[in-house]
Amino acid sequence: MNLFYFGKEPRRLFGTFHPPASGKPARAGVVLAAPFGHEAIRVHRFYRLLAERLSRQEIAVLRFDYYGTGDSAGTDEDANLDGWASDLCEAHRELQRRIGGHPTTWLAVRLGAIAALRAAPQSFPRVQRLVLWDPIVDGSAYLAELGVAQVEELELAHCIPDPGWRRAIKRDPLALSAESLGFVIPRQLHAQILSLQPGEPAPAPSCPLTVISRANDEATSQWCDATSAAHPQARLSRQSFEHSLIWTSNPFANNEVAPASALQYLLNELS
Amino acid sequence: MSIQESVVTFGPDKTLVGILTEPAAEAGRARLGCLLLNTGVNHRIGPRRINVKTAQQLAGSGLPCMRFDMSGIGDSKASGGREGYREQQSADMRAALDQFQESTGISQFVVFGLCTGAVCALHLALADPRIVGVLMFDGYVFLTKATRIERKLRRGLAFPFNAALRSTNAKWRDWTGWLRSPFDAGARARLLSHFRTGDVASDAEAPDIFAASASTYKASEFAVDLQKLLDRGVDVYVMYSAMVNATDRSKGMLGQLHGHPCLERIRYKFWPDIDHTMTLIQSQHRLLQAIDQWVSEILVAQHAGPAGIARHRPDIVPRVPAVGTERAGA
Repeated sequence: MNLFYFGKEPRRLFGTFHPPASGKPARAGVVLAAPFGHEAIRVHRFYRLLAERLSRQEIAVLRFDYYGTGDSAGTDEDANLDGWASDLCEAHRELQRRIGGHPTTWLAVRLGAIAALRAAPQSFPRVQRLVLWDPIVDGSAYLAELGVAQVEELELAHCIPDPGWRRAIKRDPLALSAESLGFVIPRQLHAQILSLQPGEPAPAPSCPLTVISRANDEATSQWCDATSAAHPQARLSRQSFEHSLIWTSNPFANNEVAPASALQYLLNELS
Repeated sequence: MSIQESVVTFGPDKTLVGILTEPAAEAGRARLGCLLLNTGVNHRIGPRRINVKTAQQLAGSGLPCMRFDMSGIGDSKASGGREGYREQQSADMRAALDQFQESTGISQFVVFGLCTGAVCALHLALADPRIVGVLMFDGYVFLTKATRIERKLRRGLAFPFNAALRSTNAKWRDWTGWLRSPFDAGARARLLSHFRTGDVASDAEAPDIFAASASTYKASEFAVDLQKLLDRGVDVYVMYSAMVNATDRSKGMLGQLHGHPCLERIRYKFWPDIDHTMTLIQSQHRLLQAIDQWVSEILVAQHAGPAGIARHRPDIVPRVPAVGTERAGA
């Protein structure tokens, strides 16, 4: 595992490269694209374990932090989907530089999936395949979900919580959506998230797409249908997968950090 | 002041991972470093990325910082040794300080820890003479019985009128869940479980999963440890969020230490509107401001910079502690 900074100043990005554990040349590459804010912290352990397991199958993996997140330079206020898409392309180039042009897949989770869809047409050499796990396709529902999580977190962490928080999101589900679980949602990112609608198809996919979500995730189902209808030539497959991860929660006893079933599922999908 | 960040790997097998955040220029660089510790299972960036935000702010003011992952957390490998948990953490923190010193040439440090990190920070400060300041946020709590009763009363009085408080009470949730769906087997089982386990007192003092465990560590031991640090000239700062109690009087979070001289010599701050992990952005800003102020006062007091940080930051001069920060005799 090699940890390093890459990218052009001032947009310095933090990356972790997992070469094949055997020491042999990589037969393929995977870039892991993180979700937003608290969810990125939540997924860190999961990504590390997944990367280590993939590296044992001679697949080289690059994990990285978008600008303004994790160990990368920048602040919360720098977060926006276009910037993340450009960071993803930069990470892709970095992985290609290290493994010499082998076919590369991106795994992108939650809001990271939207960044990946924007980045894929710009990737060079072209990304071979996108795997999107629980993508955010309904922006207002997502912001409302973050609002509920924010209130639950605040209530849990105060001896006598302010009942005004839950009243605020009851009146307006987006009342607290300028920030989420300790991270700013800058105005531009907020607008980008709000523009996501399940009936709005993805731009023409430049590579095969695999979309993984829960069976009862109707928004994703609708989005897949809309995308397939808008781009009949697109190679899009949808898979249902149930897991115990609660993306917006802290890792409590009822909420594993890295469920073995999810690790195994994605390992099979990516190797 | 612009900053630069670099990766460091260290420890006996170079399996510990850290990030060094330094001022880009040598001029104005303080001769004091800040070590930032893990909180729980979160990796080195800390909950809400607070360690990165702290490092960026302090390094921007001239103070190098290092955050790192202890063995088995984040990107650091688990230790192959046979040491116990606490011993391993102590070894990791010492190794981090060694690396920090080697990378920067600095030999005096402050350490910041939140929750479980606060416990580690105390252990490090006690064990390593290079530590000249320790900030413990939501670390050890020693409430008096009277404060516990008062807290229970406050919560009890608020209970009927505060839906948020009711929703976090498991017994209330299960009773109302059963009343809403009396024929739901799951709801019935959840309710009955309270009686089976003998959990009849919903107001029983449950151990808080967030709080640093004080079950085996007594207030008297804490007082002795604080005194050791103060005698060594370490600047001790304890901060508390509104998680354990909603109000605070007379350093009530350390109420069992009342009368001990150490209590008058530490810095103490209770934040009635900041939660345990600084969920609100505004609370992060205020905490960062307080950390910056604290570090600046240490620098000024010890003349740790080449000519004191005041030369580079004329806005910072020795002054009386900020409102709400009580400190005497230091």
